[in-house]
Amino acid sequence: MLKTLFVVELHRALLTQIRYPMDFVSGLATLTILFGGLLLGAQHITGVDVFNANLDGLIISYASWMMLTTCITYIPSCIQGEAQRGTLETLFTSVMSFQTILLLRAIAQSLVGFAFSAIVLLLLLWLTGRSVIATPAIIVPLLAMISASLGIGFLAGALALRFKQVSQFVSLLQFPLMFLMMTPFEQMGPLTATIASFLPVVPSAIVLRELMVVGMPLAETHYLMAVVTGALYLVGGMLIFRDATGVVMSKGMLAGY
Amino acid sequence: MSQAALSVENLRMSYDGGRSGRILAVNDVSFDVRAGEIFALLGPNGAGKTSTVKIISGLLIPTTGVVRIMGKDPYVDRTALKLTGAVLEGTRTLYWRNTCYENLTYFATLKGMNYKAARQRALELLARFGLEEKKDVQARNLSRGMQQKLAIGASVIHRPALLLLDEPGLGLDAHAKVDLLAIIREMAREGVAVLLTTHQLGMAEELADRVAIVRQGKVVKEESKSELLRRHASNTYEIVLLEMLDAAVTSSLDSLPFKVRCEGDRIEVDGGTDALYEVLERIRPARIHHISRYQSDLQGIYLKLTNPAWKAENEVSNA
Repeated sequence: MLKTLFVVELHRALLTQIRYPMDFVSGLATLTILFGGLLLGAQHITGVDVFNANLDGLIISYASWMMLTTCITYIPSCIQGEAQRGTLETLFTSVMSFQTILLLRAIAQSLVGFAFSAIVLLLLLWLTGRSVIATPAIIVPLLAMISASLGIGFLAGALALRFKQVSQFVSLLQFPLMFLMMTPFEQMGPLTATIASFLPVVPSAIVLRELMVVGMPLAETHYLMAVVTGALYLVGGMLIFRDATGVVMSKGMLAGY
Repeated sequence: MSQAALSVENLRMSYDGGRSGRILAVNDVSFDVRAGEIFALLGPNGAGKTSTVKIISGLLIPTTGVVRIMGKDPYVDRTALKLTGAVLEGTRTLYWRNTCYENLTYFATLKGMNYKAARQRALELLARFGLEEKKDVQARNLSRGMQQKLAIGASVIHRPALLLLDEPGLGLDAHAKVDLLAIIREMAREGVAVLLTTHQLGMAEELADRVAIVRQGKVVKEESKSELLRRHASNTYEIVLLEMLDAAVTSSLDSLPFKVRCEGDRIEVDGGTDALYEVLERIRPARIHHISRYQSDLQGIYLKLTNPAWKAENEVSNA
């Protein structure tokens, strides 16, 4: 049942991308130009040849940021869209719980987002004449990062379920996400590093940096911390979302926009 | 028409109305709907019809009371939702940018069908609802009538035992409404229990086997439609003559202790069968074309029962 729904959700997410070719092409062009612009801007400001310095790290960071933004914003945006369309209540009449449907949708959307990012990156590599080798070791921290982001997405989704119109709030979520991903907490002393390792996406970001920037072999504790926080934020987010669903349903606040 | 597909017992739903205090949206509502039966829930805006339907759909947790769909409580056992199909908020239950076929298969998987069965059933329903040629058309490009058919198709694709229809006729033109009535009747014939809420009393009168009239969250009357119409049948008769009455007879009718109105070749008698016989005696031997009894319709009964002035002692309690 879950597998069928996941396949259907994936199909729907793909259809949404390709059904409107102009949207698809302009999205690709915008993200390619944005990435190129970021690199050229950074090179101009710092004077460092970013294309030669650590292009694979930048590429993976950009792809991760795109994906995580999708993961965090997708759930609240999805709830707002469903409420606006009038299909939100229909989803609650499913035999599957609403948070399960949302989780499957978010994973499907992340995969499509990843594929979309990959096309953008291939375009960039083709345009710059470069090549990149991504090590399989990044998969686990990336998955942990996605899990933590989905957990935060569920927390934002709980608000969306109650207030429906949360698009401004959702767009603001990208900034703390960027802060958590980019700040080198591991270099701020043991206490800060320990506290920060409990924050969402931080342990995964540390591991990714270790792997791709410093080139250090993985510290097992960092790896473990990334997996544990990723799982904890996801489970915690889903549990809080489930409770919020119960409150909204008992107060009759599910409908409306 | 035997098994209770839906059983609702002592439902109450109250919420915090802010300055208005605690508001009782559903007040001790009980009824059941049998397989193959069409049950209409009628009432003015804010009477609690939609809240009741949403509680049954598993969307609104009741303050107290129990809902059982084929014996299963949807708030305890989610598989009860597999037995239910619902069309809420008119046609706003579709994905506008998805085609008819995609909508049907998607809603089927939400109800737990496997993809192969969903695809087969989607094609079957498209053919049955006359939407075969619209299979690959996006829902937003359909007429409102077709959208409503598609919404019903999406709600019955998993062959539910209970179909909940909240204002299904809203905004439909006459042709679409005729099609909709036929579809609902067909569902009932196949054994689906249908719970219908509507403002369109004509629709309820045409479809319903039983009706419940709701006022201020409470069921004030629950009866079979035919019994309701019979019990509220008018006591007024009309006698149509083949000739005009002379003035003396007309004035003798005025002296009768009940209301008689003469107008040309027509006499209106308001007082039941005894009054009718008395008038017939007075007008003998005038030639009669026909005698008829005024029919009550659901609208008249509804207006009477939902009138706030209607005496509380007439109310039927479900407690």
